[in-house]
This record gives sequence, structure tokens and C-alpha cells, in this order.
Amino acid sequence: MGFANTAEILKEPACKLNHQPDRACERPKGGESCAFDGAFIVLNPITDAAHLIHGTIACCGNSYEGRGSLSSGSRLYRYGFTTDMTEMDIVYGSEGKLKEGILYIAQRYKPSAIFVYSTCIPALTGEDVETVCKDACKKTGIPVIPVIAPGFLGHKNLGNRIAGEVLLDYVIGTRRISDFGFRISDLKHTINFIGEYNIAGEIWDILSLFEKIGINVLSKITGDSTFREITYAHHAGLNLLVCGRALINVARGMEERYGIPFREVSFYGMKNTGSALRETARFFQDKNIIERAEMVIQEEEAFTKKALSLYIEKLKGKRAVLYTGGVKSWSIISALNDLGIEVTACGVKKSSLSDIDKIKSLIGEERILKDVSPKNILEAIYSTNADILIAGGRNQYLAYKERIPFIDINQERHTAYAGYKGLVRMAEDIVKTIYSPVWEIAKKKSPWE
Amino acid sequence: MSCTEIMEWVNTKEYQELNFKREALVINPPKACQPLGAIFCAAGFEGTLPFVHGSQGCAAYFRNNLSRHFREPFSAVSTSMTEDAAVFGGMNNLIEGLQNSYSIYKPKVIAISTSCMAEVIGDDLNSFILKARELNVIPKDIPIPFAHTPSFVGSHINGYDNMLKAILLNLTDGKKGSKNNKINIIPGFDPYVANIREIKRMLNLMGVEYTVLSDNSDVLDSPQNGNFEMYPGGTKLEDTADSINGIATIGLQKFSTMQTIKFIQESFGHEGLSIYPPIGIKATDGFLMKIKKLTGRTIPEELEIERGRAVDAATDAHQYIHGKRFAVFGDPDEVFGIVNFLLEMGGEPVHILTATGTKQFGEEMKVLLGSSPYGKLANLYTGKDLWHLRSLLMTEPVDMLIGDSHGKWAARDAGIPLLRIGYPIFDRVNLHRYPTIGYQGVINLITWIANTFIDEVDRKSDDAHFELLR
Amino acid sequence: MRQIAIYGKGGIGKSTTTQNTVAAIAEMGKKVMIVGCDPKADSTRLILHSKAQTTVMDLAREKGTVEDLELKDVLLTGYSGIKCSESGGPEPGVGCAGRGVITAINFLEENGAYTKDLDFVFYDVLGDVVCGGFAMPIREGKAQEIYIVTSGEMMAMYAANNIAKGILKYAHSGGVRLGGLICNSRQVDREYELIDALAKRLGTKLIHFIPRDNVVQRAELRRMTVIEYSKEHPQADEYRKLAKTIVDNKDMVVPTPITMDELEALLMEYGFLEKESDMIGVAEEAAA
Repeated sequence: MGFANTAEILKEPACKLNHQPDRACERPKGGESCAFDGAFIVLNPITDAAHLIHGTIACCGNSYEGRGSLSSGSRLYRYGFTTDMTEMDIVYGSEGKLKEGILYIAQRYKPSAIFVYSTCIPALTGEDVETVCKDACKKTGIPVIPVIAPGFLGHKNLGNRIAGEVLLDYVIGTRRISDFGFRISDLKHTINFIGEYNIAGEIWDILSLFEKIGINVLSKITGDSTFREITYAHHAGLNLLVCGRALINVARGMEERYGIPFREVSFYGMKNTGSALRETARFFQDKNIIERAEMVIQEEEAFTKKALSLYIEKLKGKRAVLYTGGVKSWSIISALNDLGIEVTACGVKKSSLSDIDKIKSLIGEERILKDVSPKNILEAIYSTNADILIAGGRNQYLAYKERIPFIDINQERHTAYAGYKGLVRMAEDIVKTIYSPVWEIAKKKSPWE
Repeated sequence: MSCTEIMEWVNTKEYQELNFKREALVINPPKACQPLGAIFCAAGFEGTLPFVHGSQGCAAYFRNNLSRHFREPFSAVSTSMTEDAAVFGGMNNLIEGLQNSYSIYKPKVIAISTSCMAEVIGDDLNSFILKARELNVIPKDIPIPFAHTPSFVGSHINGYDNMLKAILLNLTDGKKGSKNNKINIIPGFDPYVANIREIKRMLNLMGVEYTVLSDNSDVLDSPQNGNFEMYPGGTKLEDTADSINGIATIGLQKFSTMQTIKFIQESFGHEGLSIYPPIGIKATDGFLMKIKKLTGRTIPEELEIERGRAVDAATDAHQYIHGKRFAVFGDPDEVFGIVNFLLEMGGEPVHILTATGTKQFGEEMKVLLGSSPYGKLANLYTGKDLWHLRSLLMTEPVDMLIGDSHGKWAARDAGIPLLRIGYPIFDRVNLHRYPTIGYQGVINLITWIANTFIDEVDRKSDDAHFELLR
Repeated sequence: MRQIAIYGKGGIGKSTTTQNTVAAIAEMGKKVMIVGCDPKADSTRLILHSKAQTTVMDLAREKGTVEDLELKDVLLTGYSGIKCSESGGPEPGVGCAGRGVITAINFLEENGAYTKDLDFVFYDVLGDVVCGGFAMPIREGKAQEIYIVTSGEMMAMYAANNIAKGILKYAHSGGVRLGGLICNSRQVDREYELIDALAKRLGTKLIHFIPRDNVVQRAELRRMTVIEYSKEHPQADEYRKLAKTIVDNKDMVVPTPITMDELEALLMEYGFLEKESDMIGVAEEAAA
């Protein structure tokens, strides 16, 4: 896939499903992070694959081991593999070095697959990464997959989608489940997750819910996944699109190629989780499953309400300013409402237009924050008398400098907030920051002043 | 071979040999890139906005990275070059970037560094800046130092060096005048804000006047006063300009200040020298003696007493460190300082590893190791990564790994503690607020190292050996 | 120290002209350095009498990094004390030759190749200004003067005009100026008049017209400049004249590049391109 497809990728036909015009998914404005970053975030959670960054030290050296996606199995995905292109490599070309690097990984680590990320510099000097990958694949018998996502192509969201195209073209549907000794009859009531990256282990809480209901999760795309499980994802009955904006092209592609329908769901908050479980169960039109889903929802909600009772009084009537990156703001708004927290302003720089419409319907147009510069975020907090900022790590220390309680909602967070247990953890974290006694000290002037 | 067999095989000597033959691939690099060092340096000057000319994404990484280490907001802007700029050059991005940066962030200085894309297409910063001035998009009098900091050459320490040289070149231009009485101090790429404070404290005790060139201690450790400030400190611009009239310049790191020191020797007309970081008793002694010689000031009694306390701390705790085996990795200067300190305490550095490191560094390290009986076991590996280090830890075990947070996996696999020193440290709080240099630094290092060993003993002891006294 | 860059279409005889001119300047007792900025690395062989000298980039590649290079390995002294260096770079079609030029010049600068005693530094630059890297010699206050080697052939003139555009870009900010055109004759009809006219259009002068002479090739076969190979030959005097003109040249201009249409009109004026109406006339005649 060359650069020419950039515009194609951004025009997402599936947005029509959200009753939006053609370009609805296109983000209003460029972000700060780049296409490489976006592609890497999506593919990196495939835990038993090697992820080789072909580029200068900038792309790998500043970022490796820094993502919050957890693994229950292989640790290989965390290794920072890079060709570390030097001046000589740029002047004389480094396709040879890349090839050697791929072979080294193939021989020494026996990975399930190798993803090769082409970054700004090889893209600029015109290295033929695709051919190198193809040759290496032939030679090693291991899938070697080119991810052409140089940062200069555009923002993170574009990179997410490039990764989605890579999954469709090189991974999904490349193996059959029977290749691995499973029978089709094992595949009753199967679903895939799309766009869930197992940040802080969130996927584990959700998996256990589906297990209780009797719905099988075939493939996780891509949180805590193996390469193998994604190759046969096309056998599933239903796709759950967990982070819609980023990988909607995968859901749509699978619908087109394999006839698998998809549902957009969220697992943030009690209400969202309940309707996600219910909708999934109903899809299979199995009375048994539907009943069990209702049972699980009831049980879990009862448990959650009880667990929340410790916090709910403290959170009631609190006001939050929200600015999320990866996760959908509207789903967090709903989760916060479950906790009795009102969202007084919501940054939408990283939201798609359809997401923005949902946010509007939840909190009203006047609370939409388009300009998310530090100054504007702070102004929103002060003018709406908010108690907390819920945003990505980049704003964490900005908030602290202004004595504003904060929790991290993005991919670097260390607490799992999805599902029922996640909501309780979120409540606990919010209480911990809002009610920390340090703010009292921080807000008081020195006694001698 | 199955996966488990491979995981065992990678721990063998046989694998280590293959591993050290690896050339085409870097696995877990212990280095960042030049522009990161450049913006770190630029942030240390009053009202200075670090400005990265390159692809979008790079600056986001740098900011994130620095912000996590210091747990502070870090401001920097980027020109976000796109495919268009890659083909047609980044002049418009740069000019527009300067215009926006000035109007939004009102800096006193804009310090430009480059990420690799701008370097490969060969953007001519000087002419772009002149063009921007010609178009009047920025005020005439705002200094715009610029440095070429390609990511594919050297590492963050070179970026620091190149940016500092560029800033000094720009701000001292035409400022040669009557001598002041100050000594210039260049901290180098030092991720400990407390180190700058410690140096200032010692110089204050001696009554020496000084200018710290790139003083980011207040920028990256600003007080909680309820207000986010974009430019919370830094070396005053007038002091920077006047640094050309100082009596001497000392770099407290050698390898991250090479270009700058060379420039100062050539154009400041005063003595410019760099020393190994004052980590350890002897190195601190050496630093103070140097200052004494350059300024004619005497070492005050307070420092004498402090030195005594540090020596006392060393004697109190020597038994925990003497004879222990260490692996050390990180930036050349910091590694040099730590090895020097270990030798002083009778610790035995066994594996010393850096991602960068010139021939000169290798030779000087050899001299240092040769100067002590405790340096006999040591092997130096330059241009290597943390996967090499892992092999070494597996085949020739040590008692402790010293380095930044990225070492935690190798240490975990080897079953040894990681003592976090260097950059980046993402998984511990406040360490950058403790000095590693000077006599106070000696006390801190001894405290950290000895207590870590003692914690290990406690953790590993069975009931019979679990004791109150250690 | 005057730093001069020679540009021109590939194959026009840039390297030969540069080396002969430099040899003539050295003969006048001046200290000169040539920096070849072309991966082909043939900018110094007539001075060094060698096939090709070891280039900065090739040696750096061998050693793994530029840091391990010694200046003496890549800066050689040839005929009449002329210092010679070649940037080198990749084969066509791979890597990034432009970056190679940047790296090499940076290396020479940082390692003291630009000594105070030099009167002239000549950069002999690859074909067109194809990317930022090849503009390196005219960036950041390096070469202040440029000469363009051209001939009466259309593509050579087209290239000359393009180079003028490049100079115009850097002239605004960097202060680089065009010193003139040099015509390396291809024995095209009315070549002198044509290039003279082109020079006027570009706001500059045709500073010298080098006639074609086989002695140049004969000298080249022996890896020498004409100045060295056949001191007395009239062709050697041509290069001496050119050398003197450059040494004395004070007439530096910001060029005024012309449009493609203007260039075509110029060619028509000198009878190279038939007018469209004439062409139609010819076709009609043929049909009749």
C-alpha cells in the first residue's frame, strides 16, 4: 500500500451507518502524534509477534516499552527492535540491513510474525520495504508484514487506519480455524473484539463477563492477542467494535469480505456494559444466552452498586472536564454519569464528527471544547467550576501545577476502567485524587504570607 | 527449537557470541535521539521556546518522554512537516511555525532543532529564518538560534551539545566587552535537577560568582503555586550573553559538551575545559580544587565538614559495597561518573555498556579502570544495546545493575536489583530531586546502593536469617 | 577565502572545466581546494592523476561512522598544491546522495579542511540542484559565488535556467550570487550569440567561451589537465583566461530566471526551434 491511499483510508464509507456524510470519520484537525505512532499502537498488542521499527533511533528510542497494553502470554511485543538507521544507512540505503535484521529476528526469536514499520526516513529515501518483507517472508516462512506508516503522512488516527488495512490485507483470513485442530462446531456464539488494546488489563475483566454468559471470544483485535487468533478471526459470528473511530475500517472490511456484522459498543460504565452484553446476546437469538446475559447483568450490577456505595456519596454532584485520546469520550461521559459525575466540558480534538454528535446529545453543544490548548482546558475547568480533569498523561502535570485533581484516561494509564470492576476502580481513583489531603495544603498560602 | 527452548538458549554463552555479532539490528536501545537533548537544553534558558523542525509526532514523543521523567509539564512546539514538505522543503512550515509560536507563546527566544526528516531533505534553516525575518512574521530582535540535530547521528547528548553551542553562538555574538568575575558552568545532559542546585550551593559557599549555562533546574522542578507557567526559570539571557566575558567555562560532563567547549575555546577567549562528572569523593575534590584554582577562592569550612560527613557515610557503609559486582549502562558521562564512584568504594564494575561512546571515551575509560585494582574485571562495551546487556548478565552474573528504567526487564530476568540512575526514569518518583554529584551525592549514592542490597538480603532471608541488625 | 560553486547539467564538462580552471588559478600561485559534490567522484582525478580518490562517504562507510575518519585519508594534495576531496555517495537508485554531500562537507568543516591559507574553494556539484543536499555548497554562507557551465544545447540551457532559479531562492536570504555563465562549446551553430543572449536574459554575463579542442580529451586520457599536460597549447590559455576572469570578477548578480516560454522563444530567435507556423508550412509542402 502506497501513500496514494491516504485519502481513501480517511474516507470511511461505514460512517454512513452512523447516518453521517462520507467524510464523517475524518477528524476535524490534525493531532500531535503521528501516523507511525497510530499504527504501532494498534498492532503492537499482538504479543507473540516481533515489531521491528525501520528508521532512525527517534521512532523507537523515545517510545519503546512505553505502552500500557498488557499480555497474558508472550513478552516479545515489548522488545524495542529497530534498525537504528545511521547516517551511512541513509546515504547508502539500508534495505540490506533491514533484511538482515528481519532474518535475525526470525532465527533467534521464532516469532509468530514480524511487523516491519517503515517510518519517515526510509519512506523519504524510497526504500522498498514491501519487497524486502516479501523476500524475507519467502525465506523464513514467517509472515513478514510491511506497515507503511511514516509519520509525515499525518496524524495518529490515520496510522490507526493504516494498521487496520494491514490487518485486513495481511492477517485476517489468512488461516482457517481447522488448520489448528478446531472444529466449526466449536464456533458457536463467537465474537471478536475490534479496537480493544488491553490497556492495564481491561480485556480480562470483559472476557470473564462473556465467558459467564457463554459467548466465546474468538479473536481479540488486538489487545493481548496472538497472531494466530487474528488470522482466523473471519470465522466469528459477530464483531464488537470497541473503539469505533480507530478501527472502523476493519469492522467494515470484515463485513464486506466475510459477511460478519458488527456492533459498536463500549464497556465504560454500567449502562454501556449492560447494553453491550445485552445487544451481543440478542444477536445470537438464543434464549439461553439471552437469559444468562440478563442474569449476569443483574448480578454484576448488584455487585457493582454495592462496591460503589463506598464512593458514590463522595462523587455525587462532582464536576469533571474530559479530554480523551483513544477511548470514546461519549462512553466515558456515560460512565461518569453512572457515578453521579457531571461533565462540564469535553475536548473533542481527537473525536470523530459522529462521536461529537453523540457527545453533544449527552452534554449539550455549549460544553463542547474545540480548542484544547492548555490555556483553554484550564479556562474550561475554572469557568465551569470543575473538580477534576480526566485526560491523557500529557495534561497530568499541567493539572497538578494548577492544583487540579486528575486521572489518566489514555493508553498510559495503569488502572483498568472497563466493565463493572473497572467502573469501581475508576470511582476509587477519582475519589483518591479529588479527596487527597494534599490539595488542602497546596491550596493554602504559606502561613507567613 | 520450541519457544521455551529458545528462551533458555538465549541465556547461554553460545547465544551471547551470536548476539554480539548482531549488526543489522538494535534491540532495546539505551539511547534517545538528538532533538530530545536539544529541547532539554533549550528549555534551560529564560523565556526560550524549544522548537522542533521535522515530522509531526517527533516532538510529541520528546515532550512525553521528558514530562514523564521529571513529572512536570514540558513545552515544545513542532512544525509538523507533512508529505508536501518532504517533497518541496519545509520552508513554509518553518515560517508559519515561527509566526504561530511567537503569537501564541510569546517567547523571548525561539531555539530551533531538527528531527531527521528536515535533515535528510537538507532544509536550510539559516535562510528560512532570514526569510521569516524578511517577511516580518516575527519581531526583529527575537533571537532564533538553530542547531542541526539529526536523529541518525549520535544521541541525545550530542543534541544537547549542538543546541547549547548554537544558543551561545547566537546570544554572545558581539557581546565581547569588559571581563566579569564569573565562571561559567555547563551541567551537560544531566537528568538530575538537584545536581544543578548542588553545584550552585557549593559555589555559593565558596563565594564564587557563576552562570550556569542551560539551567533547567527551575524549569523542570517548578514549585506548586497554583499556576502553570510556560517559562518558569532558566539562565537569564543577559547572563548568557555576558558568559563570553567570564573568567572560564567548565563542563561538568565531557562527552555531552565537546562541541560547545571547543567553540568556547575558540571564541570566548578564556579557558574552556570539561571534567568528568563530580561523582564520588575524589571527583568532587577535583572539581572544587579546579574552581579554587580558577577563581582564587578558598574551600570554606562548611564544605570541609560536608566532605567529612560523606567520607563518614562511605566508611559506615563500605562493607555493603566493597567486592560487589556491578553492571553499569547509560550515557557515557554518567557511566564514567558512576564507575569512578564504584572504584572508590571498592565495588567492581564488571560490565560497562553504552549505546554511543566514541573512541576517546573508550580510551579514557580504560585509563580509569586501569587506575584501580577494582577495575580489573571490567569490560567496556560501546555501541551496544540492552539485549547485549541481558546476555552479559546471564552468562557472567553480577550483584546489581545500575542504569535507567529500561534496564528493569534485563534485571528481572537476571534476578538482580536495578538501581535507577540516569535517564529516563519513568517508574520511580522524585529521584531527580536528589543530587548524585558533590559530597551530598556521595551520601545519596551510598544510601541507595547499600540499602538496596540490604533490602535484597531481607527479602531473600528465610526466618532463621531474618535479623534486626544488618 | 572565496568559495565558488560550479553547477551545470550532467555531462556538460563541468568537472573538466573546473579542474582545468583550478589548475590555472593554482598556476597563478593561489591556494585552492576542490570539493567534489557528486557520487560519481570524478571532480579531482585530473589533479590527482588517479582513477578516483577515496571519498569521504565511502571511507566512512568502510569504517562504519564519519567519526572514525581522519582528514588526511580523504583530503589529498595534487598538481600545484591543489587540495582535493570528494564527497562520494551511493550508486544511483539507492540511498540519499544529497545527504551524503551534507555529511561530507560537515566533516571537512569540522575537521579543519578549510584552512586560513586557502584563497579559493571550488565545489563541483552534480548535474542539477535535485534536492536540498545538493544545495549544501550554497547554503549557510558557504559558496557565495556560482558559475554555471552550459552549452548551446537546449537541455543544457534549460538546466542553466533552473539553476538560476535555485540561486534566486537562496540569494534572497543567504546572499549567494551568480558570477556568470561559462560556455563549454559543443560547436552548435551561433552558440556564442545564443549563450550570450541567455546570459543577458538571466541578468549576467557570458564570462568565457571555451572552444572545443581534442587536446582536452588527450590530456584526460593521461588523467591530467591541459594546463599540466600541454602547457603551451592555446587551449591551456583559454583556461588561463577563464581563470583570470574568475579571479578578477567583481560582477556578482542576483539572477533573473526566465520562463519556459521565454527560453523557447530565445531558441527560436536563434533558429533552433522552428516556429509552429513554419512547421505547418513544411508539412503542407510535403503533403502537396
